[in-house]
Amino acid sequence: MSGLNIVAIAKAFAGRPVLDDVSLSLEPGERLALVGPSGCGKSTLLRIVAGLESPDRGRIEIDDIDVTDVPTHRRGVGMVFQDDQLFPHLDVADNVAFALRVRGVGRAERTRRVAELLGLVGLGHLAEAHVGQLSGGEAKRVALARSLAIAPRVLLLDEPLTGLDRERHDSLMTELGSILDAMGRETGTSVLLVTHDPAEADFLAGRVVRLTDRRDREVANPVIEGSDEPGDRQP
Amino acid sequence: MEAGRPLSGRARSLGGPAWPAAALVTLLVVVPMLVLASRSVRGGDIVEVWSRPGVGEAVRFSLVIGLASTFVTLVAAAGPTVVIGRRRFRGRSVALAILTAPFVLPTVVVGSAFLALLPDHLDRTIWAVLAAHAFFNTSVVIRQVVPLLESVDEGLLEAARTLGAGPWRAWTSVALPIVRPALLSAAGLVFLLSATSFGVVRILGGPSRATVDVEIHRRAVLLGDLSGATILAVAQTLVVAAVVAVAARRRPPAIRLARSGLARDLPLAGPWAHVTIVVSIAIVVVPLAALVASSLRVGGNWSIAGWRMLLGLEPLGGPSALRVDVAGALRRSLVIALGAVLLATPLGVGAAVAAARDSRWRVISMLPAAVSAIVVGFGIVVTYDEGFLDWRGSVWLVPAVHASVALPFVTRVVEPLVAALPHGPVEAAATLGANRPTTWRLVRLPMLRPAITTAAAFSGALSLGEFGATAFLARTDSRTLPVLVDLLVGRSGERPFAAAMAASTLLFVITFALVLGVERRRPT
Amino acid sequence: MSAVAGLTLALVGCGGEAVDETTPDRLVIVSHESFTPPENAFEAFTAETGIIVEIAAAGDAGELVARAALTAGRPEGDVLWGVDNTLLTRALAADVFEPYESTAHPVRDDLAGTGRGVVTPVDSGDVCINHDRAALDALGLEPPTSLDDLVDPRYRGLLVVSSPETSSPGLAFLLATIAEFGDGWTDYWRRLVDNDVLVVSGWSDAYYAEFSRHGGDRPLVLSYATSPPAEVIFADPPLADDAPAPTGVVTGSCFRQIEYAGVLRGGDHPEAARLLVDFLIDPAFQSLVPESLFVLPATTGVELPESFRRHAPDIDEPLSVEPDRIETERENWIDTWRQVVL
Repeated sequence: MSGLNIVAIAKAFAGRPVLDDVSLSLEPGERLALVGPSGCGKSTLLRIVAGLESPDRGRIEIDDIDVTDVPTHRRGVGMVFQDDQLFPHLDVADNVAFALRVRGVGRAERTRRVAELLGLVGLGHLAEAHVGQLSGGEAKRVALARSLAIAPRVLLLDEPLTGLDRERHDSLMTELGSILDAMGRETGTSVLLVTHDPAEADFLAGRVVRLTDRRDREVANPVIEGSDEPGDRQP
Repeated sequence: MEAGRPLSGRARSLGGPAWPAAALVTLLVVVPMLVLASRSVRGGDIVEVWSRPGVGEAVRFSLVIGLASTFVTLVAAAGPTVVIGRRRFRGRSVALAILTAPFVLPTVVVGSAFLALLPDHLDRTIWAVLAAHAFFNTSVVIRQVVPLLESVDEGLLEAARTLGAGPWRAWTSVALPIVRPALLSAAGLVFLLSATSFGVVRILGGPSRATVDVEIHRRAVLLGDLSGATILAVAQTLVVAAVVAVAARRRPPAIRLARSGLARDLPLAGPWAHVTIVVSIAIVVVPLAALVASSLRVGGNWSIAGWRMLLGLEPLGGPSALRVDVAGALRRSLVIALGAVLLATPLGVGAAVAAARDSRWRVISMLPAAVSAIVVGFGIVVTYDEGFLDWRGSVWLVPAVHASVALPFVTRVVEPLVAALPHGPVEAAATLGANRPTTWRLVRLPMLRPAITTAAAFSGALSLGEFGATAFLARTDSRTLPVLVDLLVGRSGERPFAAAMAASTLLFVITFALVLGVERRRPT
Repeated sequence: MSAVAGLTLALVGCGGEAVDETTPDRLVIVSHESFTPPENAFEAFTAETGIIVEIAAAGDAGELVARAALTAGRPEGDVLWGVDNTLLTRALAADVFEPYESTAHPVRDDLAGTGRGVVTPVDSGDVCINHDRAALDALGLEPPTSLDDLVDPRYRGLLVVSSPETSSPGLAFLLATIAEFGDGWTDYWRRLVDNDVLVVSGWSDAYYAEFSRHGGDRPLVLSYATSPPAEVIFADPPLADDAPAPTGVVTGSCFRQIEYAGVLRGGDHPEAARLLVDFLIDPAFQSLVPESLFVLPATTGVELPESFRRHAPDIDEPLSVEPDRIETERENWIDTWRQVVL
């Protein structure tokens, strides 16, 4: 099936199992949140989907293609890291343009696309800004814009709102929701986000899956916990 | 005004604590340089000296060996630098200590080690010189680049990969730009050190190879061409000073790395990484092992004659009965080193205190580093040579010169700690009635003690191994150990060679012990 | 600076009494490393004056003079032994000596006065090409008899000399070629290079490492007319009494070197130093000179040992160049030599 398909993933670190037979499916354009306390493997699962770790067992499929052995840089999976990981030696525009540069996209096209992406996240005025001068929320948005540059099939968000204080948390959450909505209208990108905050999960995602310690369930169908969210539903 | 809080605005410090150091540097570095400069202008040979054969070759050779050494060093250092900077493995700190140790070894020790190691047809060639330079300077690259490399968050590289960059591309577009300032600065330093190399080229280069430093010494001590030596000395100093000034001006602002709450552990080292480290350590250990082995041989046989000659238990002998006092040189080197340490440490600490308050004073202690040791020695011999200022052969001259050579190191080690001294204890002492000097004695100095000990140990190691300036200042009856090694190594014959190897080995062991003892105590 | 020093000393001396120099207990002779008199050489001097003589040796003559120049006025010893006629003017220009030419004993006619009143001639040696008889026999070659022979292809790759830059006999050889060939000397050296001459930095490297008599590959070496007696004396196993010397001399290639000794300026004991210089031309010391330093004594009436009479050829007409010409041209000659050869 198209979209993202996580099949029977198992991973152990130093003999200690972290993921044991986890399976998940996302339709194209669907937004799913993984909720659970820290240390239960949510980030690990995300990294496995991104290709930054290899699973001990199981496979990952994107749009019906088995990408389990495909290296990260060819997988077409975008990721927003918990600590942003903006490149300190490049300004905002160059950060956002990075993936385009790697692809060999021409300068004019790059400029256009960067403007478009920064516009999407509401930071058009900060194109030349130095990365170190950004606030937490601004950095997060730049990281998001960067990851969308080549329209990935799957977008991964690792604890996108963690670490922000109350006010900024709420305002960013709202913004993030709108951006994801806008994005969802245009592309068929599946979004998998990971958080420990159930309210955040409810707000941002159409479906929420709870990961519990050790025993992880196969989820074939919608919603386990209540997760109605304002805004558009999946098509 | 507390030490540690730099003055800003209009108030500038008078730099009191730095005056003794300033006096030493002025007397032994600045004045001789000015005298040399004035004599070179008077000589009228300024244009003609460059066409004297040997001079042009020396300049060309300096440039060539500088560039080639930089290239070879960067290549040799690439593997261990990357592995140490980006991987975790057991024994990492030991590997780091071993790989950075060569830098503090005396040049005659490294020269002797490679003489001992290389087969006869290779041991006085340009390859030997390059190998010795790479041996020394790999530690410069590692020391400068690794800290920056360590600070590159693995997450940045992962982010690059999620954006489509393969492993190589991720490296070159993310890690390399971050590390570049350190890389350039290391390359520049390696170039300067190699182009002004004296001891290594003298021992390993063979009769017709000379860097500018070697040529200056040759002109002055062998050919008696003082005007040529003077002009070369001044020209070299000007060029080096210009290069250093330009480099300091154009330094790009350090890239401030974004705050990362989750600094991930560096990945574990794989088999290739381990191989690289083992090979690199072997490359450091093998020449030194060859040196030690050579000290225990005379000709083809095992023998401790070399050591007996060193300790005065056996005469040197030989076809031209060279009455050379090997044991005396050992004694003298130790005494001189002690004198140098006793002079350099307080003066350097004073300079560091002044520099921490007002960074303009840093110039004083950095000056000796900008002038090559050969030029300092030559300048002194030519300046203080008449009447009551004739200090040649004075017993305090060599320790004083060694102290001025050691000053930059003392200051560099101590100044950051002075600047970082916490105010709390000092203020508390004040409320308890302690005045300035007492506060210094009872509070600040004890807090600075680790740095001071380190600086003293380094000064001692430097003095023991100093060769360039001492080559001019030591007289036939007052030779130091490095000067003696150079003399013995230039003699044909197995016994002088064995004695030279024993002397070099002793220098190596003492220097290494000093530096290791200090590194261990550092609470890193 | 000197004026100030002079004034200071004058003030000190103004006390009225004559400056009374106390007798030192030791004197130091600064020399090159080939100055190796026997252990008891200075016994007579010590017996007479109570002064012990020590030797501080390093490097060769060129280095000796350069160091003396650098330390002029604050010398490393009291007396200098080993400045030769090729380097004399350089030492004089650097004001190394306190002028004293000893007349305590008569010296040979050809040496008298050559010290210019500043230094005293103490020995002479002729720098010549030596040949290893056995090695040449094995190659089926007659020994060469002149400088011209050395560029003959028959002798290709057989000659080792030391560099005039760093070695005093090396310089003497260069001067010999200049004396013999005049302006054509550069051509001669080019032909030597074509004939595969080996140039090393010092005489001892040439003689003890490269000469076939001592384990090297080259049967022709630049050395002294007095080297054959040395080979006889140090032969191991010893030679029969009437055996010829194993090495011989190419008499047409010889250049006369005269060595001098002088009192170093600025030393602490100039009076005692003068006594020592007198002793150096005393026949008692001079008679030890041939078989320990392998040079000819300067003092007249000193009998040569048998080894010399039998094995050291008389060089009646050595090549020579006037010292003043050496002084003005030496740098140029050496630089040109360097260009041609290295």
